[in-house]
Amino acid sequence: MSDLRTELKHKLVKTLDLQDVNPDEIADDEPLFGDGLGLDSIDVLEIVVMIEQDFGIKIDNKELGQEVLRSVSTLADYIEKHSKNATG
Amino acid sequence: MITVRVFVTGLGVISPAGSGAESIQEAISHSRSFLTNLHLFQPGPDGAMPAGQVEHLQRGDLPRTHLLAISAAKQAVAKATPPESIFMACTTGGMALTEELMASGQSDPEMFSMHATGTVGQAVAKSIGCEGPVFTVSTACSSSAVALALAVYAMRSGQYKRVLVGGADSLCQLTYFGFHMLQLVDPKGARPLDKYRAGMTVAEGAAMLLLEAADKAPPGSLGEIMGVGLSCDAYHPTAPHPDGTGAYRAMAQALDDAGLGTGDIDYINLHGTGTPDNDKSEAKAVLDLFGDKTPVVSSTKGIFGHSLAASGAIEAVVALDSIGTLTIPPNVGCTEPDPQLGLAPVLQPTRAEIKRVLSNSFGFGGNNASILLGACVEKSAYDKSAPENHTQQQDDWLVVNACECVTGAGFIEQTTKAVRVGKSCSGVFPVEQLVEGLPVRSLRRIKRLSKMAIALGARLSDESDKAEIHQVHFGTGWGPMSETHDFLTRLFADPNKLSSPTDFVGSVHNAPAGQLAIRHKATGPSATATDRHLAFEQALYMAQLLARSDQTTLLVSADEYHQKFSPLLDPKYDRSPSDGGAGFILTSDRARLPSARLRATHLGKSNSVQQIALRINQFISESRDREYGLIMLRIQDALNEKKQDMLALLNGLYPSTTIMEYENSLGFFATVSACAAALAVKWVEDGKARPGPDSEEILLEDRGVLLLNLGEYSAAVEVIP
Repeated sequence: MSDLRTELKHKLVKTLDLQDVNPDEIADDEPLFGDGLGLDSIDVLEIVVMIEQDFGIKIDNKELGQEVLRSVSTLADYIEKHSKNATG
Repeated sequence: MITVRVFVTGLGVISPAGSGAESIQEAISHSRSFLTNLHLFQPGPDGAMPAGQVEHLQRGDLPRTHLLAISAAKQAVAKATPPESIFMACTTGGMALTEELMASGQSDPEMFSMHATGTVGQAVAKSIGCEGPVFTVSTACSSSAVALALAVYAMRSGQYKRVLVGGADSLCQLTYFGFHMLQLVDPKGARPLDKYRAGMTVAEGAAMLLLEAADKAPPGSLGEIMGVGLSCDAYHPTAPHPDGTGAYRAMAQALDDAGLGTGDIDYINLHGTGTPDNDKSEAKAVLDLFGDKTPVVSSTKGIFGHSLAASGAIEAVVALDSIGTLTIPPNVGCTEPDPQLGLAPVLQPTRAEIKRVLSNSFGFGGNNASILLGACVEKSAYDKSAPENHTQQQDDWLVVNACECVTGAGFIEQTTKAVRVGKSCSGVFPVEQLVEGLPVRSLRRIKRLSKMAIALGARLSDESDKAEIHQVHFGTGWGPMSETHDFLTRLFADPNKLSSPTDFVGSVHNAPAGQLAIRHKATGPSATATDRHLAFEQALYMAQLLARSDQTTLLVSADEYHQKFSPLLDPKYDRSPSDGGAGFILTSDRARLPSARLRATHLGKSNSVQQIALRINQFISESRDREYGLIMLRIQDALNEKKQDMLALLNGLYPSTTIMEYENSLGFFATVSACAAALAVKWVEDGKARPGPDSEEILLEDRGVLLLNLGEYSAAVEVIP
């Protein structure tokens, strides 16, 4: 498990105030929405703001947000890909 | 039975298109958009997004919202005597000024005196010389349509013959950046119903309508409010129900209320914000309800933008204009109608025989309103069988099926006990105890005020054996201060102008009502009253107006103490931090015995003790010979210096009745009167009261308790067996 994935799990729990979730128990590929963690559209936006503030990466439309935020893995992949681009 | 018809006899409007009814007419006839890049304040690093800004508004001592509201109000009553009452819709009050003051580190409470939403209606009252009650409605983007519906109900009750109603909101950073955080803003400006629409455009403005109750149209009438419909989605804090069920019910009720059918509507002015979700669910609701009788439709938000609490009133003016000029307003911004919506919006101003218009307004919290406006005709459309709710209802008492309160001492049991032994209930009840027993997950994303509301709602539901709830009404002096504060603080601190979308959603004054409606699956009308120390009394009055014999109401009224905001906004209460609130399950019939009934009466404005005496005397003469075993008194700040005079006055009026100054026992916060009412209900049910350790037990028997909340604006709440 990469550090970024672990970091993201902790950030998700903190940002979304998931008091009943242990970050270390979130599986990398567990769906964040629907039957998984049960998050909704406002959570997507909250994570989008967190990603922009903490990683400087914009996710500026709903469709992209839903695509990127399917799981911790998809989010981590997106951040890695776009950070690389950002640093050249 | 007297049938009351409500006519519009004056109007005023100020919007990005300019000032006066002519500006609306001109904007419509020229199909012009007035959305321009934001210049009122510094935009985010991505540059200015389009906004609907009112140009050339003279700066004054008052915040922008107040100036907009006063401008519209003065136009509306220009040729008339002042109205008996004002129903004012507003979501952010003096927020634009508060933001400037916060950003510059101001800490003088005096500077923040125009922050509260309630100050807008009162500034309007002052500007036009209205001495009657002023009510403030805050249900997000449906606010002024809800205010219109409430005003119509108040007039049908026979209480008022002439009412000024409308809404105002100025642009401010909270809403501009808040909607941006929700990704609901179209960077190209709102394109409602367009295939490529990408959101709304936040705007500002105000519109006020002067309403007159009469059996036929008074000379010069501009139209008639024929029907109103209110509903709640009870689905999600921001997203509309995807099937448009709430919108459907609001429209269906407006038709039903007017005694009309789907074939009687000539044009629908859609809420049509331009967000993908709104337009989709609204289109579904329209097609489901109207089917092959779907009239022509358009949204005018591509012209004026979405001015939040003002938009419903501005669009009522648009509806009246379309009736007056026989012109269907164009759906500016839409070039390629979205085929998936199944609607064919009118794209150019089009002449048509328009007699009746349905105007939709929907808001956060799933709060929906639909207003049916019609041309003035000699005979009412429902001459043969007047709908029941168009006739005067005399009995507006609500029966308490369950009640609960929270103060610094705890819930009602602990509070009653503390009062009995003379222990102060002042303080801030720990949040862990407040929400004890509630699922952790259900409290995620909400802060203190909503938590209070939810805790009260859950306890009331248990107490009433999970009675089915149809309507949720909420009263709050200050709204969700934690969310508002946290959103703005983070926004100001971030160079990229980012803040929490959750906080923005939670900051709207009716957010707790939306939460309650979702939890209790209450899909009926929902109103939120927000006027500082009279918020509870106003919410109760709104519950009375909207009560139906076949529906059960959950009324909650609460305020939170906030370390930064409370001392700034409500300085009197800084001396001992406290907060709390109360909730009631209300029905029209007695479901259990013993039970108490309650009712709020608003006494309007008084500038002196003598005037208050007059108001109280009038109230007493109208309450005939009801007897009170206890008076629970609150004297608002403005009157504090004249407290002794007030007490002497009341002792003269009620020489043998105990007077309890309840703030001393219960704490100092805006909606403490709701807690006092909850105690009164318990005492009336028990037939005896023990308002303090020094007083003997008062045998109430069949006497009631009178709550007086006296200040510049005063109200009475009667609690009787």
